[in-house]
Amino acid sequence: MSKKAVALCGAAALAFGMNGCAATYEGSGTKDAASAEQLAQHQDDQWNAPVEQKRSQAEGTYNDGVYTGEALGVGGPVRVTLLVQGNRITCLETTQEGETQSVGGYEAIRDGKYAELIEAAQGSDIDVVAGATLTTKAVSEAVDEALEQASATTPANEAGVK
Amino acid sequence: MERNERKGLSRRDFLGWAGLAAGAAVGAAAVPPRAHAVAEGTIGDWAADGLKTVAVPNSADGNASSSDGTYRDHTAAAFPANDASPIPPRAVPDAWDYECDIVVVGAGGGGLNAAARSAELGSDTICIEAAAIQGGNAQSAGMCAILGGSRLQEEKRFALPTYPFDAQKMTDWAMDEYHFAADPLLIHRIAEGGGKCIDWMADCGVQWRLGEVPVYVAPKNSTLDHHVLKMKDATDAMFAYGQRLGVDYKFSCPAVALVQDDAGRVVGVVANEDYEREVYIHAQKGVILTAGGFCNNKALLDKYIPTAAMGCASSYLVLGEKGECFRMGLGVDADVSGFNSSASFDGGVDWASEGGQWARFLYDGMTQLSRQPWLTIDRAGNRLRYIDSRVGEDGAAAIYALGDLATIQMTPPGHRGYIIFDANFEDYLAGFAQEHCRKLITPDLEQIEKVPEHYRDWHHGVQDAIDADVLKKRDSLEELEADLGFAEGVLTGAVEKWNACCEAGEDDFMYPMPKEWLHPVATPPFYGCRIGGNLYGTKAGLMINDRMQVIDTRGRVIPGLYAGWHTAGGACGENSYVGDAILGSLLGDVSLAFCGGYLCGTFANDAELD
Repeated sequence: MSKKAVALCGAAALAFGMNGCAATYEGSGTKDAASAEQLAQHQDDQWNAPVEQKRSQAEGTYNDGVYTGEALGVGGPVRVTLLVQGNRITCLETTQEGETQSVGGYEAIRDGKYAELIEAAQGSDIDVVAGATLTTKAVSEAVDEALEQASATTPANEAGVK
Repeated sequence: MERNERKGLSRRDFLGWAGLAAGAAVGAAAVPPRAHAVAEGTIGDWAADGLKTVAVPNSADGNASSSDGTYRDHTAAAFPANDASPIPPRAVPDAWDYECDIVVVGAGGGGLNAAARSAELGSDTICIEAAAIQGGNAQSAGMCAILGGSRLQEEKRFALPTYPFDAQKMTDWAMDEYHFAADPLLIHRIAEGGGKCIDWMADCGVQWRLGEVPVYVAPKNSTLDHHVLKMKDATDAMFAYGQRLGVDYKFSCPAVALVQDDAGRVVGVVANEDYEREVYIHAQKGVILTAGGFCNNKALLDKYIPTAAMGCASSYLVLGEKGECFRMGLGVDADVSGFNSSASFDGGVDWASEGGQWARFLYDGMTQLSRQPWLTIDRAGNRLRYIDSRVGEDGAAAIYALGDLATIQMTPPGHRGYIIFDANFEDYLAGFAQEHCRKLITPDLEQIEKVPEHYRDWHHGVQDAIDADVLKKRDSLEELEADLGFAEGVLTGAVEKWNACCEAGEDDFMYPMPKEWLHPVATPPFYGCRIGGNLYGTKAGLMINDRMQVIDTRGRVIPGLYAGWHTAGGACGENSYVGDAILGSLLGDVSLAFCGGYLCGTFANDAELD
């Protein structure tokens, strides 16, 4: 470490001699270090925002049953299992291969956030989970696929097969 | 602000139910009140893993090492992967699904460079990637560190160990840093290749600017205010360049096996296209494995990097890092280099021991809070030294601080440290003024849209940790002491000594804290958290020679197989804690990934640098 320090002091002097003391430095901010006022700022937590019920039941006519839809998320397939009863949707399960953890959709799938959003929207027009755009899109597509299977106008249903 | 009802109870409350919940069917025919992928409180629910039931030890037991006091095991279910078995190769198929000259596995820092370089040299190139998008973990890097040899550094007449830059001189110096436990030919290749790679990327369209201290570059338009998604401009530029050259990128297409012919040559890969169907991709010239390392695979860490397995409390690479390509290399008898080497920052928070996940976003608020100069002790109550990251006189030392403090946190008794503060902690934050990824994210920063919304206010992540009882909040020191698993009297005794120093205005520790940081721990509630290393790079990996060819356990080149960092190893020799010389090797981790891709693309096409 000592050899390193000797070489660097020279370099550092070169870098800082011309700029004075408060260096503009990656991660240090364009100003001096964060002030107490800056650090005291609060912002609403989107992850804890209450989910508003958009409608009481699904738009469209569906056959009662349990349906699973799938779509590709960030880290593989995302699956959604819906229970449809009297055109009302309940989300039984959401699974994943591995969406991005602690940043993106991993927790939202695991902790039932998407299930909540699906039930609130009674369909695939769910709100985007902040930080999980691709995962949300995949969940939405998976819901569409499940509802397509449940749709009263599909040939399978016309033939009396559920 | 309404709180989600599920968070009304702490995770600690849930954990007791994990055993009971194991039997409860998920997705039962009856309409359940709330749907989850797994029963509440179950951790590590990776569908591929299939694990739904987890027993998590009490926090106090989580402190324990094994009976000989040396080893500290993690909860496997907290990891995305836990498999060290080699993945065997497949035989040549009757018919191939795709044909090309070069297959690159991975579209992160290494893969984007390897694919672009390969296409630039005239090869028909396919680049496969497991995720839905390009960039990998590289797009999230904050600095692209390099110690000399690039055009920008030549302009400033800067190089380590001294100017003028000379690859051999740098190699000699680096080998001393590695205590000669590295392959000098490979180190020389890195010394020589780093600058050329940065310059080549500039020619490809990446707009670099040199750092104030000229040991790193960063994309020109990236903010100085924080490090989130800083490298994305660079990876996007390399992706665009590759597209212009006609690279065939296949996303959501994870590699699953190598294809090896009877003569032992690697002639292609098998991939799971769209996660639906297996396809065989024929690569006439070679296969380049540059899909990251195994920071998130417990079994591989246990076997090949025991110090990281023991000393790290978390990893912050949230994409991949499950080590599939490393295991594929093992399957064709590749040798391993860089045993027991890794790179970590300070401030890994021990979520995994409390029912949380091993991999966490680096800027989640709690990580930054844990990296401030609090009273820090080991489980015997001894003080742990703090390494300041404020720029001051020596800017580069501020960067090294992030690795040096990691080692300090990884090596005390029980391989963990403990931070302790009291109710007034927020009053002290402004005075700490820590830099880089220790800096707390506030909503007013430039390019804040790059930060995931939840984390734009550092308070949220800290609240998550309090809710999960990872950051323990207790009304008395005695309760905190017991719940952190200290022997009786250890914490209260250490706090007493600390408070006496604060009162006297002088720290009597061998490495004293500056006076302005001597804040007593006196007002309840009291906070405490267990911390360790925060892993970001596995330096053990497939053995390569200085032409990036993978070498087998008998010392022979495996024909057709190349590997770049961090699927490859050896960049800082054996037994490196933090990837000397600069948090990764002679190049920082993302810089190493970029360079490895450039070198692989070059040598796999039988070309030379420049």
